[in-house]
Amino acid sequence: MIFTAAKARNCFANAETWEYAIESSAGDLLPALSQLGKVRTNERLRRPIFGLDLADGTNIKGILAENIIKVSYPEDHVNTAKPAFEAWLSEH
Amino acid sequence: MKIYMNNAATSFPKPEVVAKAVYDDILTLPGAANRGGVETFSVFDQTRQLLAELMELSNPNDIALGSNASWGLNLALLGFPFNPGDIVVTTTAEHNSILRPLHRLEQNGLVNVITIPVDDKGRIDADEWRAAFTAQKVRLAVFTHASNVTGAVNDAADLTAIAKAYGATVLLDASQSLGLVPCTPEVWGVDMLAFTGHKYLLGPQGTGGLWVHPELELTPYLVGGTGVYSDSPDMPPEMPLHLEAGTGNESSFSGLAAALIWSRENPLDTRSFNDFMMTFREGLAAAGAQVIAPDGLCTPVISFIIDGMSCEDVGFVLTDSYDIICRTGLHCAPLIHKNLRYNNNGTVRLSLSRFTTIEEAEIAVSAVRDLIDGGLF
Repeated sequence: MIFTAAKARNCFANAETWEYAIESSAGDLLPALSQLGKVRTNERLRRPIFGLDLADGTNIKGILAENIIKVSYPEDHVNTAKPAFEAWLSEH
Repeated sequence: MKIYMNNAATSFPKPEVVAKAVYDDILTLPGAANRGGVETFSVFDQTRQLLAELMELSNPNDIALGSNASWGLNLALLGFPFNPGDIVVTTTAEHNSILRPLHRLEQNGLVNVITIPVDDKGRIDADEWRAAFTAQKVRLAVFTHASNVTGAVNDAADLTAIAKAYGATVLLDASQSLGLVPCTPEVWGVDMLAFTGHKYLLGPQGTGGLWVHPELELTPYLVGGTGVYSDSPDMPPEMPLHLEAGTGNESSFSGLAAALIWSRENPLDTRSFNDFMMTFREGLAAAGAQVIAPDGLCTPVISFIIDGMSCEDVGFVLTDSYDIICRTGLHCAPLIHKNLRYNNNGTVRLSLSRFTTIEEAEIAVSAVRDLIDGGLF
């Protein structure tokens, strides 16, 4: 999958959150994401959301119907977690 | 349709006349760069006059106009005639636009900064404040008129009187208050007041300034062209030129002037607005949010947390799922959070304006209720 990434900043200097614009909706990516960990969804909200935590501490979330996902990497090993997730994303 | 609740950062929408004034100015010949003359119209002088009327100042020329409140605070703090070892008293409620200049001054060895805690609603306690002045000789007192995190408005007149009684100079940050609550620095005995135009004054971004009492002289932190006195190597001694180096933002100040006129012609019904804010606050609390609800005078800033959820997750749901534009985290006021009852990791902040509707508030309460009742997942 081709994607575009941009860092999303917040108040904390060590935050490592990135947004990825993907080719499909996040919902379409869920079957693949479920191979990485337990995907949770909340369909009761106005726009249903999903989220999952990977074993390495990476957190992924987004709006199911949209094509942007937010990924927060663990600050202490972002240098390995980020390339690993992006490699996975490019293959799906 | 987005619901905008981030007015403590930048107000939106603006009155239409603001946009028109900016647009018209760009299509008009630029001003005469302080050269004066009977036929010259200066939007800067007009803005100064309007601001002076709003703040009941005796001389509009004591207001230097610049890009924002940070500009004014930097001019005040970095241009203040400190002597090495001077003590500055400030509070944990301050924005980084105060904390960072003070940190620089302290790092440079020029001042010692005493930071007093605020109460668990974000308001400065008068006894704590007084104690800081009785404990040591204080040169400068710096405090915010209203917390940008909790909305608590401080009794600026009382706090100023305390500081002045001990011989301190007073710098007031009115970024969160001017345009919402009465603000009369000269009457209160304040020595300097910094303000911004793009929040509750309803002007464009890139406008702000610093009022300086005529008996206080600052060393200009920024120096440069003024259009006049060009044969002198120093900045002109007269205000406001003394502190206004470089070409001003004429178009945006045209917008600010229009906003000030509009606000004068359309005065805020503060009673109704306050009732609305209280109802909104109560609605969030009834939904189960842990709302920071100061007593007494407040700006329309509502900070809350939801037990068991990070502020970032709450903000994500409000913004991405419900189109409610809010702010989460520390709000550029990193020290106040350890004084607040709930946590030290920031809050979710909904900040209203006079244009926020009841329907928008109801949607926000409903969104928070959905989140609390059903959980994040």
